[in-house]
Amino acid sequence: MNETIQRQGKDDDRIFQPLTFRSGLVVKNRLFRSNVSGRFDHYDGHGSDARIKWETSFAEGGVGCIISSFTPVSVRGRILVNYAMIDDDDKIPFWRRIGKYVHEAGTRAFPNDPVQSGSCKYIMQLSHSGRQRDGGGVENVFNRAQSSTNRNDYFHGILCEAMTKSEIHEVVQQFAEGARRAQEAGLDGVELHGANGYLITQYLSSAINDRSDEYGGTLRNRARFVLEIIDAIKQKTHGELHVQLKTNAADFDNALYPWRKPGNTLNDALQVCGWAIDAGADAIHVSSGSIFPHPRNPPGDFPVADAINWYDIMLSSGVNTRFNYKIFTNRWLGPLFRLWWNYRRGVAYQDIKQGVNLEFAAAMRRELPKEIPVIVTGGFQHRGVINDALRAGKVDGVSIARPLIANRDLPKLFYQEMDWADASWMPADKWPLRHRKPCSYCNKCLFNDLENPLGCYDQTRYPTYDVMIDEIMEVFKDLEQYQSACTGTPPGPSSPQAPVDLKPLESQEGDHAA
Amino acid sequence: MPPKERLDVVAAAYAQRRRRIVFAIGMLLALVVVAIFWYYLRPLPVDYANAKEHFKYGSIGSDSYDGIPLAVWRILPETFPEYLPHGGENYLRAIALRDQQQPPATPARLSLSKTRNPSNHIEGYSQFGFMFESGRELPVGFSQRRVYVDRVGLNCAVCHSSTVKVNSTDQAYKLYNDPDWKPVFIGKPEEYRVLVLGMPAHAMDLEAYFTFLFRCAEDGRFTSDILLAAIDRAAAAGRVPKLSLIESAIIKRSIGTLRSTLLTRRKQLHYLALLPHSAGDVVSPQFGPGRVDTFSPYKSIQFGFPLDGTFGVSDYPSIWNQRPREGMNLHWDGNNQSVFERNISASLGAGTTPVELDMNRMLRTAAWIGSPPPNRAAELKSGPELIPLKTEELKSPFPRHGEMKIPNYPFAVNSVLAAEGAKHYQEYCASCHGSNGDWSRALIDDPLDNA
Repeated sequence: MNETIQRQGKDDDRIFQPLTFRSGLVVKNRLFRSNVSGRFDHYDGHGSDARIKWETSFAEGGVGCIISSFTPVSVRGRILVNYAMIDDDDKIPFWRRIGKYVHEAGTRAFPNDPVQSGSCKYIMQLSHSGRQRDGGGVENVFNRAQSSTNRNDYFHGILCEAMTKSEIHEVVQQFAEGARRAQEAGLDGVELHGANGYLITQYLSSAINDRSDEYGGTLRNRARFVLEIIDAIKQKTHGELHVQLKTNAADFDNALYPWRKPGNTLNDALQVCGWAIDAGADAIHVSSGSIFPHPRNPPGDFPVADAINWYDIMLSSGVNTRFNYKIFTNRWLGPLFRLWWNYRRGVAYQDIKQGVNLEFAAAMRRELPKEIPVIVTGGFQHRGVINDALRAGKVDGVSIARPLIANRDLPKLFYQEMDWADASWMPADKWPLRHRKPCSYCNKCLFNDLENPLGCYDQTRYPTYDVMIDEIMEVFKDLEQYQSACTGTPPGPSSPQAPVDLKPLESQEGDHAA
Repeated sequence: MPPKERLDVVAAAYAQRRRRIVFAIGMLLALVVVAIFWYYLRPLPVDYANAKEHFKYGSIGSDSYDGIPLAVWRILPETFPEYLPHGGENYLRAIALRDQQQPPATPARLSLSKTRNPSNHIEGYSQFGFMFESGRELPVGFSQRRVYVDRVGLNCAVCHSSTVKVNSTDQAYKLYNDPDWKPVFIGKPEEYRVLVLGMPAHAMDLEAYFTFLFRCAEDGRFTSDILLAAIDRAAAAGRVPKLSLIESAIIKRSIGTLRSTLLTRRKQLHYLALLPHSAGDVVSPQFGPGRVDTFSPYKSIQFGFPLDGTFGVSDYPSIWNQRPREGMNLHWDGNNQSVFERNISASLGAGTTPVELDMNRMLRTAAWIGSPPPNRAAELKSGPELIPLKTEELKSPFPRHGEMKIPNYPFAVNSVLAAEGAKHYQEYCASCHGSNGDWSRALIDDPLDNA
């Protein structure tokens, strides 16, 4: 499987090689759009045209596969409002549309390449926030977040309660139902978000899970939750749907507060992935960091000014948020926190582009079965770096989120053997790269997402502020091909209840009299 | 009233945290208050490293919450001189004599030299036979304790110390036959009055002192305004220290309580002969100097018995050589064999109460005068049930003979008169007290039992 295709006149390029999974899924190249969220959708979780446009813009840019944004399997498991959800069958039509448009858009990326003109795949990321519920919305004002533990999220102080066994079974079924809906919507697979501190991590991590029942304690017990989910999905989808697991190679739970336990190690992660593969996982997606955001994820800076501007939306979410906000807004403590954030990443700022999780992924690649591809995320945006990693067999694919937001046609750029490293000497007329800038890892998109539409907010990359805003607002521009009208279904519930026909009072009386 | 809004989980958690913070701050404040009380306001008496000084001036508890504020006590003689013995005539004469010999300095000079003029209370309380050592503000037998303000009370030495008048310093040294002992002279040097600890206070008139306090309290001028004004006047003249604002506020509040306490005692001791009486009142015999009614005050104050018309005025005893007295018939009526109990009862007689009795300090005095340790007393079968005490709590051990020196008779003995007295003793005393002073352990022939 995965034979190398020599491209005409190209060097030993490994990025534009198709990747075949044991589930039968074939991705045309090794570039994945990693899951990255954005507040584009309706409050109740119905998707919007803006999200369709957002996702297709990446497909048109040439990535082989798009992993959807954080898609909650229940309202209680959302991280922010205005994210498309998969908690009900009435969401299926939207996901069917997005799948269709993404597939189509992928074919437009490289129309002349026999392989790369294939469709862009679309994998839904099934997710549950657990206690990392940054903004639960009005539906969740009176409940605590579900988690493996009763201890609050230690960064924001988001309140949570340990799930009962019946709640665990209910959530497992919610994941399975989500997978079934993704299958019915014609999507190419699902990914379980078991990384970055969300619910599955809260079970896996030895630093967070403090249960004493069969879902806590030993690693096998902590992994029981995710293995049950994989099993339930396999049953519900008759084993026909591609399932992959995104997981932490290591938790680094003590990154922010050194007195905390470090959490799971690489060996733990390898063991969990082994079990997951045995249970039916078709690929492993490697990340790190037991909370989100974490100094290692998304790798980059801590933008204090943006934190001051946009973190305020979380003030009512947890019991540490006011304290955090005071730190961010303090003249001395805010910059100190930023220094601390960058120091505790453990990777120098200029080395982020080498991939903060690459060596972890390489270790996993060595240890895990060859037929299970390992995809890695974390700061990649250089063709040379990615190609080297693929050539060395360290990973089978690379997922990119924020650098792709900055330059959505990055795959096209790579396709033409362009790299940021060449930008200094490449003639300006040869390639517009001279006029563009790579992602600066400023992480302003991370904080803007709390209140604003997702996009690149690094003003230094744009000639003017308005140009930047225009690019961000691009997703809301009315394009006929994405209008809901073209499918004949309005946004919102696919089969709305017919409104009750209320007759005027007099006529009712009249009927009665008659 | 609109319905109470339901708090969401985060607001409820914040509210809970606020309650916890308020509770923690409250606890912290309480700790601070306790610490302030413990280090600054805790009732602590003035203590003395020297056991002899402790006997003279150390506290046994009578200076606690019922103690008279020192500032008030100091100005009572000059505010109410008419209630002093002899209508205050001797007091005023003594003051006049003192001022004639050493005219008081002006306040300006005092502030320069940072000294004070002598206070009038020394002359005042000397009228009752209290003995002021040179340079001491309190007489022997008075202790001091700070209960928000400095207060004074009585201790053992007030009834069991007095002076012996000798003819010369050489004769004073004969009292103890000890070259290391230095005599303390009370009063004018030429009077040669040597302080002897443990002897009966033969010149001290306790009834007159109590009567003086009662009559002061009865007086309409015994108000906080008048007394504080008197203190201010005395302070302006440099005789007493100036009150701080806090002290003056506390004293202002405490004078009413002091007055009602004194008046209560006055009602309980209404039979004292020196108090004014109506015709037909039952009146006790006047105590006179060196004598006291030992049990009538107990009956009326501690027990609240109705007055039965019986009085028992007797001499103060000496308190030397206590160890052999354990097991003897103690008190004047011989109704108890425990020296420990006798010490407590005597302390209550000096003005302390069962609650305020400072047991450890009292026992320090008891050890010094040679009392047996309390645990040994508790082993005795007879007598009332005693409080078990740990001797480890006491810093002072109980030496076999005590540390208080027992004096010799300093004067020559007339052998003719002594022989005659011996005959009288054998005739009238020996039947009860044993012949040849052999420390009989029991009443040999109790006439009451025979009756």
